[in-house]
Amino acid sequence: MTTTQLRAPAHRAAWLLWVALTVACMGVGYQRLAHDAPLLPTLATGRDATSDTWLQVLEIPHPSDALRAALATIPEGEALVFVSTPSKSPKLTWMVISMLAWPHQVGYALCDDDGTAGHQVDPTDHVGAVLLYRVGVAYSQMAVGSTPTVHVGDRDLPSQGIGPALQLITGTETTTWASYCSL
Amino acid sequence: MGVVLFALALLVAVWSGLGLTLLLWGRTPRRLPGPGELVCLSFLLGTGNVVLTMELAGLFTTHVPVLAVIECMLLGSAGVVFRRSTLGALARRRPTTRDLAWALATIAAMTMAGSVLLWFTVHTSLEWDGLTVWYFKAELAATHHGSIPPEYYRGPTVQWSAPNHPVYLPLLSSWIFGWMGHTSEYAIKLLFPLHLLASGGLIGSAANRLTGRRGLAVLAPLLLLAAPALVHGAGSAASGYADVATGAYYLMAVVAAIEFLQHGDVHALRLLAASGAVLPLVKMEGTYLVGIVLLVVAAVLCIRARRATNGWRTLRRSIVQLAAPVVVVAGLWRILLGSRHVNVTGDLLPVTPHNLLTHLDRTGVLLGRLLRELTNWDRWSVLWVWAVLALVLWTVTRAGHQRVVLPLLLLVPMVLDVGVFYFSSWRPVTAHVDSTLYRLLIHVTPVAVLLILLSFPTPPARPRRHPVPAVTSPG
Repeated sequence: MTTTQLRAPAHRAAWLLWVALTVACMGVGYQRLAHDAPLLPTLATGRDATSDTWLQVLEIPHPSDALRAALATIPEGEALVFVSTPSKSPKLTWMVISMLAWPHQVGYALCDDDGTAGHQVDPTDHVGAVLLYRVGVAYSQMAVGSTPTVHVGDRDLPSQGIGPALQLITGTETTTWASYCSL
Repeated sequence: MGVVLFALALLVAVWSGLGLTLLLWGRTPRRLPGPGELVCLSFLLGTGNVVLTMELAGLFTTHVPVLAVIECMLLGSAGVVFRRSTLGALARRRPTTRDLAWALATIAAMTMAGSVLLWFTVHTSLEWDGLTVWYFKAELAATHHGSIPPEYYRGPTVQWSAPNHPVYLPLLSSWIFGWMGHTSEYAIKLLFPLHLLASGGLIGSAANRLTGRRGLAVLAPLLLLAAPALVHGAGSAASGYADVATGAYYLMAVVAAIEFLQHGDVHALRLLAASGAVLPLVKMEGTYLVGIVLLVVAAVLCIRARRATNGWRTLRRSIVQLAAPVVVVAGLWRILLGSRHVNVTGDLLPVTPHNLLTHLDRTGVLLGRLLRELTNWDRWSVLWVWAVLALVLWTVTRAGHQRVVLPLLLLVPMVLDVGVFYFSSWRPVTAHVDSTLYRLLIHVTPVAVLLILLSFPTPPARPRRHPVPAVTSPG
């Protein structure tokens, strides 16, 4: 490469500065890595390593497998809606569940504390089931593995607890959900 | 068994990359590729080739993985057969003991960097975008014959997964899943750090070649490792984001541009065009990164063309060779997104003078955030402060086009990285800047390390006790 030489003292100073910066850069950077390494959270391993780590909020072992098994009963072409409240920070949980539920569309409904509907993402397919995440009347009385019924319109629909935090309410082809916030 | 199949998938991709690199290198090159350089280029061009093949094949057939395997094997074989003289010349090289010692030191540095990266990779999960934007598409492609199904783009409930983002990581991951026979959020994490190691190898080989100092090749991976933002956290090599891969391809383009402008090597021009063809598929920012390289190269060629006879003809030919692959790939990608009715702008407002003028009051905030980021020791150590000093030293000690080319290729992307927030639709914009700016800087970090190493002054000559007779012949 075409270079212009610095004068000898400037060249020596530049070289010393570069050597010092090499030491400083590695020293500061490696020290940071050594500091961060022990603070890393415990990880799930296996095929669903990240999903399982992020779904630890569901408080069940192997949450991805449990969700896949529960959602396998939803008929093809039927959508789901994931319902929660803003205070539960549910967005990431919804996204991971959407991935696991593919090809089912998974809508999103946030209910404010007074029971009114807030932010909502509606699926275009017919909604065949609803997932309640830490909300709902039945949720507050739900034991793990229990199957309380939920009154929707003029029917009682079966529901299933997927761990203590998530409840799956399964509708029929004709079910219409007047409001996701009053389940 | 999964590890073996993972490695086999990569080997087939690298085989195609080896063939492609040798073919692009030409029959009578000015110089042979170095072994490390050849490995890094084979990895980057091979994975790029796999993705381009899968994306194109996915438009016409459901037999994408089979076609990609056949194409890879044919391309690799063609390169090895038609360029066997290059490979033979490489094999006939007889390294000295000193060469071997430096090679071992470089391998040791790469191994150390690789081990630390691997440790952080297996001890961290994919970050937010790593799972929801990139892995999700990879899983869809893996379970739909190697291409992302059209209904994904129409889905109103998966817009959070950014359907407008390019497909390099998803298709490459799905290629590996195809070989493994199943998807895995754990195993795929091994793929991403390889891009950072490839960057380290390319920086090292370029610094070694351009300065003749092999110690710089040892330093390259160690300096990349000293930036914690590249090692763990969102955007890093362990996170599953596309930023490190974008940085690797941008570095490849920059190194090729420097070599082309310095020596006029045709192989460098072809490598630049090849990296330009892949960059738009790695990340959306890849299109403007390759645009910057092309503009800088074109500007230097224009200045030269004014002085040379037949200069304009050479210029036209070079620019067509450079721009054609980029225009074709980026154009096809845009057409594809358009045909699927995907919103291509994402978090940005339309780029119009009105939107720019409306948000000019963000300038102070943006510059403040940039300064704060560049001096964030926890993320970057002193790398960016060092890069600023290197810029100064570089412009003082270099002449001709060299004085401006590398600084421009570092600074212009940074200016655009900040400037893009004038068009951010986020409220407040600082939330967007804080979550994104440092990841955009990852794209140019390898180039910053290259600049630092190329501007590394030679050690001052030691005073000698006895005068040494001048050497009059090479001996």
